[in-house]
Amino acid sequence: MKNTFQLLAGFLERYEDEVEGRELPELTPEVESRLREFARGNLRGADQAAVLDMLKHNPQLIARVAEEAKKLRTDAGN
Amino acid sequence: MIANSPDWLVTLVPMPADSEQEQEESSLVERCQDGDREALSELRERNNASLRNILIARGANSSEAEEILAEVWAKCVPGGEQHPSLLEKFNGNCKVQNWLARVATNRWLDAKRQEKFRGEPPVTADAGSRTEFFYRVPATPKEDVDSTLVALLRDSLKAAFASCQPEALVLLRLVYLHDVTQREVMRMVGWSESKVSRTLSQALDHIHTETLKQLKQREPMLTLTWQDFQDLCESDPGGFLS
Repeated sequence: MKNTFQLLAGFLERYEDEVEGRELPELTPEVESRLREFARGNLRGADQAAVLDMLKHNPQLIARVAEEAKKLRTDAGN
Repeated sequence: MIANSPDWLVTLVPMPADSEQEQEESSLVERCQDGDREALSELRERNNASLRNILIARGANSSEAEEILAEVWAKCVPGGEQHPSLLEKFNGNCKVQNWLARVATNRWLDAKRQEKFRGEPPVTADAGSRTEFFYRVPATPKEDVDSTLVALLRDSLKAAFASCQPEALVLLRLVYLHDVTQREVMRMVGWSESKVSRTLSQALDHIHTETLKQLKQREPMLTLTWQDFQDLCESDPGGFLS
């Protein structure tokens, strides 16, 4: 069963794609590194705020952050 | 023999009532789509009163509700290849009543907007700009059964999301869309678990309040509860506009 946020975000995603098109921002090594550091909890203050702002406007990148965070589960288990 | 079997061997589970009801409804809708007039009468009898109440709760007066519903039921009658039943557009991903409520609400909104602007449009402060009246009045409705409503829901929700703090929206996505635990988020941003939990809860409340506020600003005639709004998003056909 979908949670409320999933329902709302899913609805928006369907229609945003139709209206605006969905272009993945360029994932430079620098951006990848910042996302990785954020996921690992290594960013604070202005650096963290900048990444959060980037993620708010590019939600497609959040999957990368989630992936990194979940890798830490495996690493912790080793 | 079954009666004498040990408990763990035989478990008789009745079919869930919901599932039986869904199958029955699905079969009724199929018969309506095939032009079965009796089936359509039955569908109407089962749903008309509730639909009328829903429309009135959403802002229609009783004669508007009746007029709109009469039109909707008339459209459900197939009229050959050129005029298939409106029900052909129902894809079964929600209860037919929710879908009909959505279609009727959209139809009512279109009718009210056309009626409201039959005379000279009001002169507004944004005259000459892209937000001016003429750019906002919807075109003559085509056969999109819910495009007016979808645009309203989308724009209200989009504005609500845009008004969220960046960290709140990111956390919501991480936890509710990507299955990152609150504990993992806590480590990510360096917050306490209670702060993470509070942020998520307050963000959801904010989205709820702001969405309904945006909706009311965009369309004062329409009254939706938060549950209504969610039901409309859930009953979204997804493929209607493609």
